[in-house]
Amino acid sequence: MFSTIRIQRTPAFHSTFHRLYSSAPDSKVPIKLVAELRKLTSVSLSKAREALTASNHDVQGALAWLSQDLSATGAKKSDKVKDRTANEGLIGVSILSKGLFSDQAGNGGKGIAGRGVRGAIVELNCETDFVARNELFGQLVQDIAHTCAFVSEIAPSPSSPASSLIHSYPLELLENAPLLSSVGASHHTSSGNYKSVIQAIQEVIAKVGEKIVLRRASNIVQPSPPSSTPSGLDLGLRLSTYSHGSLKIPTQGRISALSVLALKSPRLASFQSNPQFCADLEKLEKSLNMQIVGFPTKTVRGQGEEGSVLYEQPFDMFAQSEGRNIEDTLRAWALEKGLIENLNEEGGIEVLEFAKWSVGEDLD
Amino acid sequence: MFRTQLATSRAVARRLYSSRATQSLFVCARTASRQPIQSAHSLPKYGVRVIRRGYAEAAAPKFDRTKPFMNIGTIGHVDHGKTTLTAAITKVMADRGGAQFTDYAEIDKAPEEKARGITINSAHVEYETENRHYGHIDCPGHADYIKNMITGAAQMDGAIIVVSATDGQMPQTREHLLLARQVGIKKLVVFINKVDMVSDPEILDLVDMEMRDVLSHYNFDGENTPIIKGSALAALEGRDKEIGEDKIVELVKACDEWLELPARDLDKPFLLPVEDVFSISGRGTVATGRAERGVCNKGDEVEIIGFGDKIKTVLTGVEMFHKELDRGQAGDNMGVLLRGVKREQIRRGHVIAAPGSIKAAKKFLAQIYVLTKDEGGRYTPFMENYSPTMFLRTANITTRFKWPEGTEDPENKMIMPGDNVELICTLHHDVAADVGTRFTLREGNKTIGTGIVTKILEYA
Repeated sequence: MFSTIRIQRTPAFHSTFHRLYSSAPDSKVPIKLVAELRKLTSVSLSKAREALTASNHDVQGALAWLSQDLSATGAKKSDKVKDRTANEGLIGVSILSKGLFSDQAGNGGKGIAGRGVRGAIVELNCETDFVARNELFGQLVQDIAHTCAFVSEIAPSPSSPASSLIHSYPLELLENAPLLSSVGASHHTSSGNYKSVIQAIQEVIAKVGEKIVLRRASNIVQPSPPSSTPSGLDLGLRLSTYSHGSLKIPTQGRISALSVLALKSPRLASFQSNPQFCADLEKLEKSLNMQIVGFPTKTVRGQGEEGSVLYEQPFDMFAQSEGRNIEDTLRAWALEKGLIENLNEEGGIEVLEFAKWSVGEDLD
Repeated sequence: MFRTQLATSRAVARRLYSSRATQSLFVCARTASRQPIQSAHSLPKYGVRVIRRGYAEAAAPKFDRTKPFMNIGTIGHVDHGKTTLTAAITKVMADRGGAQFTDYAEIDKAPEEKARGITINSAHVEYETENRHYGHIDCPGHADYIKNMITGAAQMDGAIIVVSATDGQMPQTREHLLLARQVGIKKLVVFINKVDMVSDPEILDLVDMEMRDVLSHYNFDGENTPIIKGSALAALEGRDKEIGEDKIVELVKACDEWLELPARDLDKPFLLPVEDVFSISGRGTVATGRAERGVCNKGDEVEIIGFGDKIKTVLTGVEMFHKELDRGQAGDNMGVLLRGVKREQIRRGHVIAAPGSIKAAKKFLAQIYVLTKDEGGRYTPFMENYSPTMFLRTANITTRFKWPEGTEDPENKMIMPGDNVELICTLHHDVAADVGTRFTLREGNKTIGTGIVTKILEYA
């Protein structure tokens, strides 16, 4: 919608805009135009009328006026609602590069060795689940997740341990980054500039009238690990996700997991051209993520309260687990697929790290 | 355990004819707990109400059951004045002697409640109009309204959609109407609030027109739906009578006239879920249970339905407390003597119903709430093909779940404790069921969920 505005906005229009704005009398705005404008945008009635008054009853002009004004209105509105609690909302995940073997679809990459992983997870809050279920909000969550996966500066916050792969991303940086649409078309303001994430949030605030806040964001940008053998590839990363409670977009929901797996095998390169292996790998990844989301999982391994350690849980979400725990199931899977030749060999498949977020949960 | 479970579900099923009493106690209890923050002005009333709660006294207002009872709710955007409207209705009706004024702050808290062990956030008030007695609920979110519907805590038979004249319908109005559809509301009344903040009457007409459009779009009767334009705040503050109080009166009148009363249990066709069966020598087979709805007379024709059976017979006797009756009605614990039916032909889980009034279903769509760990439910998620035991009236049936057609990637879609989901239930054997029949799901000795039938897919 905003792209159409851009096309129609001509320099000539600019001058008209100013002339009429100053001379626009407090005349009655034809109700038909208000109705038309409301069909094109989702702005409130009073805003629609204000826009038409400002543009002297020209719908296109009003659209342009609105696109400039909306984030200002949103900013005002968001200031007004800032003391309210926003505990509903969605978690959104975006994966730009799944890592190893993700060239299978033939998207012209430079071969498996060059595939790193890149993805992000964000939480956007609003006040009621009515808004959380609305398309405007869902699209916003997806776009912000997409943007967060794209921003290239790796900016690990001091709080996250140096060894971690999924870093929390400073909210202020993300809010000021230009919003990148996950569906292709880029967002512009009428002045031709990119719209920032915070502006996009404020626009939605202006439309739905609820407090919306970006609560947290993390991303992972990891190049392919260097290989230690002359034959080339022996270690690779994979990124995968599962969201529970998604409505329309499957990568968002009320609880989501984003997890990083490592595959290690001297014969890794040979699996690239094996579509069956790749399909099985995706199935395993999905099951692992469902396990993380569905059970009270907190850590991959180590010490933790009963049931919170992923590797010790029985792998209920995977049909071939036969009641074994996840650690054993992963070893057996690696052996069966030929990643390792015997159970004592180093390598196979391993969960390195995951982020599991649920909407409105208490943050430490 | 199982019996108490059923008792609860029966109590819920009988909600309509008994809910007035419970509702009132409820509000009473609520008022009592909140009394400290109320003004001295309302103190005398408070005293009366507490007495009423304990035992009837001559001075206490009697709970009048002559007016038909109905549950309605308010739905709308947070800023559009839902709560103000609810408070305004109680104020205006209180002035007419049909309610106790409930202040904004009290309604707005929407405290947590437990209905059948399930936590729901909702605020309740009650008020009487000339013709009806309303229970009115106000919930903060979609999920709370759905839980209300599933548990039957306060099923909404109609709703008031509140929309501000300054904003008009919002993007989430769509979600509000979808919710109304989902909880089975057929008719709505629209209240356009804050009209005093809009000077141009044409704008009001536009809000009106847009609301009618969007109502029609979601299959409500947009053309005939009453739309009232007023100011809830004016009514609450007692100013501008013509847009305040008068409009509230008009709104309540529109509810009286437009929203349809649900059928009373007594007016529905007879249905008796069989709890136990005896054979009395010299008399024949007697089935006992508590009549869920309707009225039965000695000599009535009935059908025995369930377990693949549809046996036609005649009630040759109706008994209560070992005394013979000519007539039994909803709520009665009764035994019925069945002509020509052998003891082996009928058992617990069958229903005895007026002929043709209910059919046995084998497969249906249901809206299900899965209890959380804290509510006593499961700890872990499950997938489709999960098969718990369904307790529906007196029957217990093994059930298998499937996602409805069109669900994306159904094999990999989890159902977690705390979820509201719509699932297809395939029953191991058929049972008499209608749209709106409630049931409980158990596994081992744990209640894991509760649900309501939304659509019958396959009759036996």
